[in-house]
Amino acid sequence: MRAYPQACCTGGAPLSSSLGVISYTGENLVIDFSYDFNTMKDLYAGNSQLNDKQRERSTNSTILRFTYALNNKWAITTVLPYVWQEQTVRSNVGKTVQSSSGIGDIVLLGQYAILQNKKNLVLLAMGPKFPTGSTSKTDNEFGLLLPPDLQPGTGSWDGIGAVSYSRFGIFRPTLSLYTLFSYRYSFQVGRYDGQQEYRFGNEMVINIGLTDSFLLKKWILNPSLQFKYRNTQKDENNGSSFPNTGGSWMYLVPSLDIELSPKIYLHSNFEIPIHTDVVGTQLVTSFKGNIGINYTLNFKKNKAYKIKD
Amino acid sequence: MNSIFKNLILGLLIFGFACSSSSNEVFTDTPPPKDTPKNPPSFQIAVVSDSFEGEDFVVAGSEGWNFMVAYKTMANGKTFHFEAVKGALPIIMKDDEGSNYNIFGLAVDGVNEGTQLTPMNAFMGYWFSWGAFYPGLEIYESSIPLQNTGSSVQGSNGWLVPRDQVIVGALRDAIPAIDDPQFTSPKDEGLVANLKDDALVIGVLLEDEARAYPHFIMNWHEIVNDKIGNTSFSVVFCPLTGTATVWNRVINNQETTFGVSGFLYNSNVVPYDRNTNSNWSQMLQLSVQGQLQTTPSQNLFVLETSVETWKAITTGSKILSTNTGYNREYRINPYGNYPTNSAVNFPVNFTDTRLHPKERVLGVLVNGKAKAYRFASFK
Repeated sequence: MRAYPQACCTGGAPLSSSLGVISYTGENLVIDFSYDFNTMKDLYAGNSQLNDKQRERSTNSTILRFTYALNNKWAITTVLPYVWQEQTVRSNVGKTVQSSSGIGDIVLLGQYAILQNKKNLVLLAMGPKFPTGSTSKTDNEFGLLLPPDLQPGTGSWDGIGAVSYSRFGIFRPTLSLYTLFSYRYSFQVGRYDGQQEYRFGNEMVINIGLTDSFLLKKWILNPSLQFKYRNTQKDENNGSSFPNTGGSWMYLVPSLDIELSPKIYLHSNFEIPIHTDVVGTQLVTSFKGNIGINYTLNFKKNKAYKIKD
Repeated sequence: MNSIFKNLILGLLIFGFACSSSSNEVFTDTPPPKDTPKNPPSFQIAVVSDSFEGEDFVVAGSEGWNFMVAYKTMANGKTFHFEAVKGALPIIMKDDEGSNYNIFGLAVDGVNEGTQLTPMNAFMGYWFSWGAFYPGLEIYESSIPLQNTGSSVQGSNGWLVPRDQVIVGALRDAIPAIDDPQFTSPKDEGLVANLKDDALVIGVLLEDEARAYPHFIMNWHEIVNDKIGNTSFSVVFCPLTGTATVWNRVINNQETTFGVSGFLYNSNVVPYDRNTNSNWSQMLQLSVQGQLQTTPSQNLFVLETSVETWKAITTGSKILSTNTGYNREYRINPYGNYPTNSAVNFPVNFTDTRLHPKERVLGVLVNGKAKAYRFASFK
């Protein structure tokens, strides 16, 4: 079985959880640094898990995100990932490990607040993903080009769009509803000196969840629980569908933010798979998490209100 | 190699699974179009006598029965001429002295009874792979102008083939070879029992023991390390090039096993032997990298046909069980509709568009050169 499904974190940033589509206060610079880890060791055929622990794959990323809010409506965000990937295959004759690391694909997003009042917030964001990540990493033993799903970058230009809607003060003043719809359109990329024209399947992600706030001593705690649905289309290879790519995944995503001060907060979330339905047979995420720190530089002293992604 | 063939009657049979539009039907593969009407006794069998690179041989084939085999025409110091025998499987032809020969090249009656014809080095594969490995190869009875004639490639970086053209399709052993194959009766196991008549398997007939290795299992494992009697062999199947070969596992007097390196050259499987970790090219039939570099594989007879043919030519055959030691969804072809579409998933050195890339042809190899035979020549 040979296939290169673009897993959650392959080829650069784990985008769906790192776009930072939230509200920002004008003339602020927000710096977010996070660590993302994704362990894949469950083999699925369709929606059935196979009893097979032969393969394991881990993707670790550090993600540096800068957002500058031009004003209360417009903001621009860049996502800079650095990726470590490792794949292990165990067999009855030994173990094979391949790994690679490097700068991943960089994302640039422009964001606009379509609607912003005390009860509602609607944000629209879009921008390109640049093919900045390396696609030429080789294995240590033979100097052969590693497969695309072990490369830090995808090699392709992508277009990313997202729209979010938040409703504040439902049932109680601090409880909020948050929804995010994001879509990645992938363009074709030439591999192996143009002998292979490959196109990753487009990706759609929907998040919907509730967030609340509590005061604990001097800190504000923002726990949330989200449902995440992710769907990818089949990849295309030289004009034909590539086997064992594409599928649908559902996750439960508990998260917790801790506001240490008006300028600094810590954030964390974990993705727990609750349903998987892949095309063909694929290795899928067993556990995924993200922790990070967020710092706001106020160029203008206005208070920002945050809504988690 | 002759001695191997004389001591062994090894049939490698590959059956074609019918393509299906129903999600409940499985084992998609690429059977050739059948003769019409679909009435087995009426399936045509034809023989052609040919010469290539100074070697005289006969090729017998049938589109309906889904097989092509090639044998040297010289045996026991005599050169035979053959004509087809229809409707009498496993007999497929008779010589000019009246002896009938079965599909394995054995004379079963007449004055030459017991004569074993020497199989040519030949096996089935998708057309594109033959064009990639043997650029400009001749097609029997074809008037289509040749392509890519005279081209060649050079090895590099310690490989006999251009290292830059070796693709990592998967990690070593990510496609697990079967090292302890279990066999079942065709009627005893659900998936095996439900094989369609035109499904493809790989079969071995050795010391009167027949074993078949279905494509639908081989798609997931590519290599089976097996043994019959005193003969250790590996069945090597590449789903991407549609090629099946059987290699002797005793190399330089040492028994080894083969595994799937995960590499591809010309989109074709690169097995590795576990004694030396040398990498081999299935279609070049030699080690292309490592300690055993330049060592040729010891090839055993390869025959390709359908389940119904396999049933017609063997008795008491065992079929590889899905009890492989690995949990796989064998009802699904992991390559989807690849066997029937026109896509070639990985780069190849040469592209030859004379035929559909997935047309299955028999390649006969002599002196490192290949000649292709189409089912269309045996109607």
